[in-house]
Amino acid sequence: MTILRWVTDVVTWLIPPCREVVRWASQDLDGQLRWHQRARIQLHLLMCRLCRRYQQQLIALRAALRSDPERLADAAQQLSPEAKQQIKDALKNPTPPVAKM
Amino acid sequence: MTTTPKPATVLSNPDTWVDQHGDYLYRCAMLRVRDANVAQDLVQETLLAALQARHSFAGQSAERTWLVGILKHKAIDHVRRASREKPFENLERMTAADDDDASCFGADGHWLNDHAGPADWACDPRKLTENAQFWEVLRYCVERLPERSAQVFSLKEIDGLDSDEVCKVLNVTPSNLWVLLHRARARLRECFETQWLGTRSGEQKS
Repeated sequence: MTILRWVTDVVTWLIPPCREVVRWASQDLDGQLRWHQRARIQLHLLMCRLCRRYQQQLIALRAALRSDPERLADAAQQLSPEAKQQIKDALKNPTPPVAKM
Repeated sequence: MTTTPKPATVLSNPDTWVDQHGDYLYRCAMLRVRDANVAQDLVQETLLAALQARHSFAGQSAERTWLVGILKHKAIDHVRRASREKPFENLERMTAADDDDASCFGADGHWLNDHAGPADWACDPRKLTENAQFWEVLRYCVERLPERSAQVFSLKEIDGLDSDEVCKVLNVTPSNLWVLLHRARARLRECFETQWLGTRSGEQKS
């Protein structure tokens, strides 16, 4: 039993479970994993279709966002006419006075 | 102003800034702070700062890009101040069991079944941005992130700050940052999947 337990522990260390892999997949995006963690994830991904898909989706979402983050802004949002007027007034009479550069 | 050497470096008349860029800057601000009043203040601060700094505008970027750059700094300053006033709750004690995805995994830590895991998005993930609905769905989901996750996510993925800077701005430890980022991404991925597949099945029906 002890040996079996030991073997299970080693395998779990070598090939982390999916729950661990999805956390690591996020950290991997930020370049935060150590080499052995990356190796262990790869080992897991070789065998796990779902985690492979999860990782690819995270990568795809990140790449899409990085390509043009401002496109996330909602084109329907706009300043109210009052807000615009207020900002225009502030620009005409800037306080505190403009410092000499 | 008449002796400006390169015409490309000339800014437009500040009187026209609000009409030209106001709405755009406001949207960019809303993306980062999600509060209409704060966003409006940020636009005003941005334009005032631009007015003061207009003589140092080097013309290396378009006027709007320059303004968005100033706005970004103003928004980050705002988030920094807000995080000092209202610090993040203690996240250290949070365990994996508190995560949204806890129910997706069995006791052995593996996906419970195919259904609990990520679904097939039925398209090449690398071609997502080519689809017109992609940004709409993603926006919907980003807007629905909880406040803290949204802040972390926006600093990291929208402003592209590195992890150390995000920790400093939000006044959190790196380990908290990893937890928050993982949660934000997991939630966003899940929301995106649900909405995306919903949209597509709607398309097929019609």
